[in-house]
Amino acid sequence: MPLEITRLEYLINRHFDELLTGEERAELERMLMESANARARFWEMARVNAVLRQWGQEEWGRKDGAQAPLRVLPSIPRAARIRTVHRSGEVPSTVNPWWPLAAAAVFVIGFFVWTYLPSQPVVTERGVAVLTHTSDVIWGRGSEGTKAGSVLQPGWLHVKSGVLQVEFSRGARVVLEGPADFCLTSNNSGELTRGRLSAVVPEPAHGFAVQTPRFTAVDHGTKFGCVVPASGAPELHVFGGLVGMLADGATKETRSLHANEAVRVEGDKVQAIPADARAFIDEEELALRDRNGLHERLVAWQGFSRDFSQHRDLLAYLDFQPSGDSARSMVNRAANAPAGSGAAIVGCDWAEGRWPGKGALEFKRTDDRVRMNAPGNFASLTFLAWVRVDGLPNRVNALVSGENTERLGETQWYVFGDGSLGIGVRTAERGKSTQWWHAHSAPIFKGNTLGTWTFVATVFDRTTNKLTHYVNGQAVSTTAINIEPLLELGTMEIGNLGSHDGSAREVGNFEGRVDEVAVLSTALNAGEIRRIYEAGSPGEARSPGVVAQAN
Amino acid sequence: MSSETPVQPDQVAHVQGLFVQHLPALRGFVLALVSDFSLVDDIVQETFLTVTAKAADFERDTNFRAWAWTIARYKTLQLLKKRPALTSHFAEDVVEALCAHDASQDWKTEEMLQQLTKCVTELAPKARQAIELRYMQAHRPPEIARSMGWTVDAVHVALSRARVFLRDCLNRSLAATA
Repeated sequence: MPLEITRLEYLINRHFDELLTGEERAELERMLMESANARARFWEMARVNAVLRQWGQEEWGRKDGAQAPLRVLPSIPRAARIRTVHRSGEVPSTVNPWWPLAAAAVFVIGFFVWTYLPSQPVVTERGVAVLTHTSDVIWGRGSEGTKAGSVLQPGWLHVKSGVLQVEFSRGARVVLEGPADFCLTSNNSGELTRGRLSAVVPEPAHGFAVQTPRFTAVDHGTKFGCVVPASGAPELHVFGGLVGMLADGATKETRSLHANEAVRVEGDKVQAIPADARAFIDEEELALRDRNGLHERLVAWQGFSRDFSQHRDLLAYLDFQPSGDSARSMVNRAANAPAGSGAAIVGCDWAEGRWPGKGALEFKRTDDRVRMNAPGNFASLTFLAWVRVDGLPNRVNALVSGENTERLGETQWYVFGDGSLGIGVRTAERGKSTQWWHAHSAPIFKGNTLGTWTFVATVFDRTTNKLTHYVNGQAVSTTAINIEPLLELGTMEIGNLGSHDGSAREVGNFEGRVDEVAVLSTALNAGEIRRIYEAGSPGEARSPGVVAQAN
Repeated sequence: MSSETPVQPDQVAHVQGLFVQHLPALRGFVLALVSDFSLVDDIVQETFLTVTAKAADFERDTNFRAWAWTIARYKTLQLLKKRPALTSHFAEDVVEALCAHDASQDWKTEEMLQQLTKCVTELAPKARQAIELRYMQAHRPPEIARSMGWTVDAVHVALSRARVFLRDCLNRSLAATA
């Protein structure tokens, strides 16, 4: 069900998010002063906001407690820590004449929270970090298919080569250079058994710990690096702030390292060595590599896209490259495009696509859509799209939907509410008990796949009577076609369920971004689908399997 | 001034105990008026100090909530006067009007928290991530936008939808358990 938000709710929400402009604040204040009903609505939302904050604080406390064994150095006094978690980058207030009382209050409050916690913690699947960047990563066994944007659960990352960045949910950011084996042990700690790692630890993540075979480094802020060679002695380099080191098996900090200090740990011997920041790839360098690599891929894709637009069977080909920030239409780039088949943009905002510099449309409102004509009836069809699914608000979340003509053969291509890729074809008139033929894949968009750029393709092939769904160039499901009607799109819609005469229809808007769509009147084969995926892949990590096929 | 009269230690402990009991609701009340989390902490802390200092004024078996809320409202207004340039809070007359509303004291935080914990698990993963960054990590939307690779507007839309979803889920759950 769509969540409609009224103007009053919108302004109240902006108040809670600290986003109100002066004008908006004045408008909200006016509404609140004039209407008791508005004040009641305000308190209703305020209670949700308040109980969410309480939930957040308790969850934070619960997580902090759960990882206590890893937090070997409780270096910050409890009371002060409670203050420091509230805002990253904010300096806690220091001198306070009421400090003893405040500390007592924090103790009492802490006791209350502790006694209040339910005895059975709620078990839910939750990430401890996000993979934010990858540069030429080839994954090792067990980590294949991990993509930039993925939410990471506790567990190992095996990297054969390349560089990646992980952002822990407590705020620490780690750049890891392959070959490497790194285990995420909690939202503020990891274990490095091989490889080279640099970490930036902002204030809320103080206490961030990296365990190696010889020592554990515990950061008190702000920047350090670890090297664990495949054979040889591991090293710890500190570039800023203070890092505590615990020898293997020790429970107390055995040594503190300040900025520009480094040690090599060989057996029981700890030897001072010069700190070498240049030996580590830092965030800026990774970002630069990332940009350069992505730009190369963008240029390569542009060449491919020009050639692909000449495909004689293309009915529609939209590359989502806006002619200006305010462009409200797109050219159908298909060489044999029917006359009058340009696309009209309704509602959607322009956004960044799968590469920096590549356009995309963001679909978030229930009425956002792109409309274009694709006249004709077709025995076979191929649908291709690069999408970033951000959420699945509806039962049907339309990718490409034919006009709502209620004629046999009306076709819809969509992501189903459970995350599966689906197609539906009308096989009977309204009123019949079964009106649609459907073919769905297993759920694709869930957990890690949400929020990442994904290539989806569906081929309705009447020559083989098979319907095949593809995800990132690989076939994921095949269904026998046992229906008669020819397929029809008419005035089709991208990102929404097609309308005909403005009549009401089930809400089926897509939520996320789309940055390339093609519809062909014939069936492409598996090899063609894979080549289109490889030419358009945004350059995220590839598994060795895919690399081998590409070569 | 009665706060200068000797106070029985058990009276202070009693008042502090009540404060702790009502703390989640009190914090929520202040959070409604001042959306900046760290300012809320300052006000709650100031309220605790005043409640402790004026423990002798509180008559047992009267409405602690009304008493503490008055102090919190006063502390909020005091802070707003000190920081008129801040945009994260309302004008004084609006605070007064909001506090005069019956609903300002109607909090069933324990029940709500229990239900909310269940409702949060029903959020889509990205919405949940935004909610966690906002309410667990205390990040503001621009920081969340950076960390999720979204625009600030997209973060705001996600948070707003999540809150409306959670409100509806809470209302349903509370109605079902009523």
